Amino acid sequence: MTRRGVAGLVALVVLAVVWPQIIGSGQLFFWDTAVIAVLFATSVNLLFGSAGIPSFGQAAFYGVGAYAVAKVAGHAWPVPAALVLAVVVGGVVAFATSLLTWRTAGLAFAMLTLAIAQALYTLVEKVNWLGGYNGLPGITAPSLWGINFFNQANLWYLDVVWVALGLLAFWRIRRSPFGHTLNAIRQDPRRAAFLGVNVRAYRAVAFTLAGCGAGLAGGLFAYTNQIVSPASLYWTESATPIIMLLLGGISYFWGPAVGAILLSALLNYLDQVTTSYLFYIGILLLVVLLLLPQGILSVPATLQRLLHRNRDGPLGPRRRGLADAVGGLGPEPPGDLATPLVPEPTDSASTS
Amino acid sequence: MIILATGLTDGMLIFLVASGLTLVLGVMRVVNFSHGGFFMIGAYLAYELLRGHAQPIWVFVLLVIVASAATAVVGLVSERVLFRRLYKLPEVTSLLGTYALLLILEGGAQLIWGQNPVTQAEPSSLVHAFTVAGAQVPRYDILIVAAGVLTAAGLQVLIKRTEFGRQLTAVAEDRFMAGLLGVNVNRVFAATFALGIFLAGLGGALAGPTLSMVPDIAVTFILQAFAVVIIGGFGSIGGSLIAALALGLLNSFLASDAPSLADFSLYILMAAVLIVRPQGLLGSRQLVGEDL
Amino acid sequence: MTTTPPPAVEVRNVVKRFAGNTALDDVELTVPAGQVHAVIGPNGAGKSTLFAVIAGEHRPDRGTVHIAGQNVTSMAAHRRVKAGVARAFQVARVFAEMTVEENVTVAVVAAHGTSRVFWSGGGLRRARRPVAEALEEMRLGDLRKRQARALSQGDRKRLEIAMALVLEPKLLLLDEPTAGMSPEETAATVELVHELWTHTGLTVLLTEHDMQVVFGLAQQLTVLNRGTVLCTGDPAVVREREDVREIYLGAST
Repeated sequence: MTRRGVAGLVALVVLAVVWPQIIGSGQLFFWDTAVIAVLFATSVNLLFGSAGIPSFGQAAFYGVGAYAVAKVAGHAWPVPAALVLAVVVGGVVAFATSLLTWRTAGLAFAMLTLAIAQALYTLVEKVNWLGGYNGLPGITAPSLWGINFFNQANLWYLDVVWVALGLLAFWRIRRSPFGHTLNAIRQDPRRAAFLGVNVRAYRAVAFTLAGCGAGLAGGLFAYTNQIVSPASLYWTESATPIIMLLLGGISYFWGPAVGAILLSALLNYLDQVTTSYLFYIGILLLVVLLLLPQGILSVPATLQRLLHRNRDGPLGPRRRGLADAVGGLGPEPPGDLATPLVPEPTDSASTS
Repeated sequence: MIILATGLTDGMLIFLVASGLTLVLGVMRVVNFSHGGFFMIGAYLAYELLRGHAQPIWVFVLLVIVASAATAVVGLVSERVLFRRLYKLPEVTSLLGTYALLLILEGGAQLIWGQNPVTQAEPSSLVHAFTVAGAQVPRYDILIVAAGVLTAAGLQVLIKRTEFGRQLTAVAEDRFMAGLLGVNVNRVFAATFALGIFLAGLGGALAGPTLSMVPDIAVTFILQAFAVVIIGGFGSIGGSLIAALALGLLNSFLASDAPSLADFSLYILMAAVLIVRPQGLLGSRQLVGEDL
Repeated sequence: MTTTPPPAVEVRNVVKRFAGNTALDDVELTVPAGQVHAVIGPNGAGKSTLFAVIAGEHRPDRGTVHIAGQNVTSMAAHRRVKAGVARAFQVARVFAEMTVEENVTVAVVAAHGTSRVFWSGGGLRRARRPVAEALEEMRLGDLRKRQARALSQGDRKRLEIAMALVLEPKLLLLDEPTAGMSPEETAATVELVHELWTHTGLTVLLTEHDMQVVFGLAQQLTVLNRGTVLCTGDPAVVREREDVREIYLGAST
């Protein structure tokens, strides 16, 4: 790991430790939900940023993770066991979804995941065992090693530790041969298949892993919010992490995290000043899509490229290679959003 | 009988919305999330013009058409400002662009009309129900079914029999080749989009008296239309007609015989169709998006 | 008793139709292990379709495909790679947003079977040596940090061959390996493939328009015309045949 990376990590850890003192308990709930959103958005970016899988149903896996924790919290399951359950449930439901969508890709896949997630929403809303429309209230994390999670600061530490574990897992996935192969699949699935990669299976695994991450985020949300309701699974909830990762930058590991913090803060603010935050979020999303497709994290690199254009010749600066990127905190080479996440249909018709 | 009538009416309403959606998807290859937003705009504009009151039927029909046309104008503006930029972007980015527009439309409606539900009365001569085979069927249903039948027939004639239809089909098949052959692709796109949004607005304006209007109908109603597009096959208007009617009828039968299942009719139908035909009832394989 | 190795490719009675058009009509092709074999024929003769059927892009409507004695007719493309087929495309397909080195890494981890490992980065470290060796072999060492999108068509094709080679195939399919190359690049590529073949004894099946390339490399020729095999044989014999001259060589002389 680079020196800058270590310094950044240490700063983050220190910040996380002292945050409850800085913020005060009134605002802590907001920050709890913001770091949970960081994990959720990072998990979704394994699909959008790495594998090029456009899922519109991630809220379902977040939701089932939340319900898993809500159900076992009443039976006083210890926190780690309950959260592991959330990971497993999120992963299993995601894996089942990937089997149902096995042969589809692109827009059809996006619409099918939306439909499947919405079917789960309807199901959860109807099942009395899950509290129906009203959901399950009164969820608390039982004390662990004498730490009591009624305390707001302790709950914050619980969230931060598990979010950090989740981020670490996604960091390793991204830097693994599997992550590298997902990048290849995103750029040209057919080429990857002719290198011996079983593209559909890899997509299914990526989808399952993202479901695990969403499940964990949902489980943490259950402890934090103390009530879960079907609203967590509603289809528009699947769009929120996507907006976050676009805002921060789809091709950076920390893009979704930055986007999650920014969007959470913005939503929190808009909620106080307007009756319709949707309108402003819509405008923001359009501006990012059209003017800043690489997200906020691409701004420094873009400025630098503009300033140094002449020095580096027509091809621009050398982008960071894989070897440099292993163990670096910095951004990966910004992929170009202008290349389709999914190849054009004409691509596969090049026969004879 | 009442089940049949309700199912048919529901199905026709869904068809009105889904036909515009599938038209835009088939020709422009854009999944338009904002379609639901235009449905909602159509409902509110009709409400503004009719002022919520019961009007004579000819006033109602005229103003519903005016409201739909006004919605189409809003659609046309958004095509110029936004969609024209989205065509060049990858499919998934354009999907998010249309989602952004949905948020803007819904949020805009919240700012203009607020969150409190409003209701639109039916035309004065259609307020009451009539009796068929011992069942009470709302007269207003006839208007919806008539609009659905006219739309289906009109689209069929437009696509199969007119020069515009020929151009539209060519662009849907291969926009690049169509452009080379002298079709003005941008104009076809704009016209298709305006037509699709007109249908969304018409669906909304006609649905107005059957629902309690809140900006949120933009996201709730669109889901059924999406499902119908998937079931019917991407881009197939005939497929969406069959799927919409099947959905409406299944909905209505389940609601009376197995209420606990009624909310799942959408997913039951979708699962049943997709297991047998992954590309939908009348869809082509090409749009399933297989990329291997 | 000596056993001869099974042929690298054996295509038997393959028929492939597209929407009523017969692209391949009862095609037979046998390439013994270790041979460089060229498939030639005018445009639309079915060369690309034959390659697609061998590589696993299309399933034949009838007939069988064997690779090194193994029946692969109904195998998906990615499983044929494991059976020993590697291919380069007519228009080189590489991962445009990756560097040259990263491109080859994708192939190496796939060949090592570490590409499915998501919990550790070890597979990437173990790939470094073989990647560097493959790049040296294809003389791409100087370009290893270059983005693939910034490469010339000739370099892309060499990169694609490098990716194919690290899969250690029994059969290398080259679809028009010199298309779009300058004369210098073409000469270099011919030399490279020849060198490769002498070093590894790899079986190579190629299509090519450039007759100099064909006669410079191929030990055997198969001539396709309108989806059927016209003849197979030594280049020197084939080029003298009247019917071949008529349909194919005749056009260029």
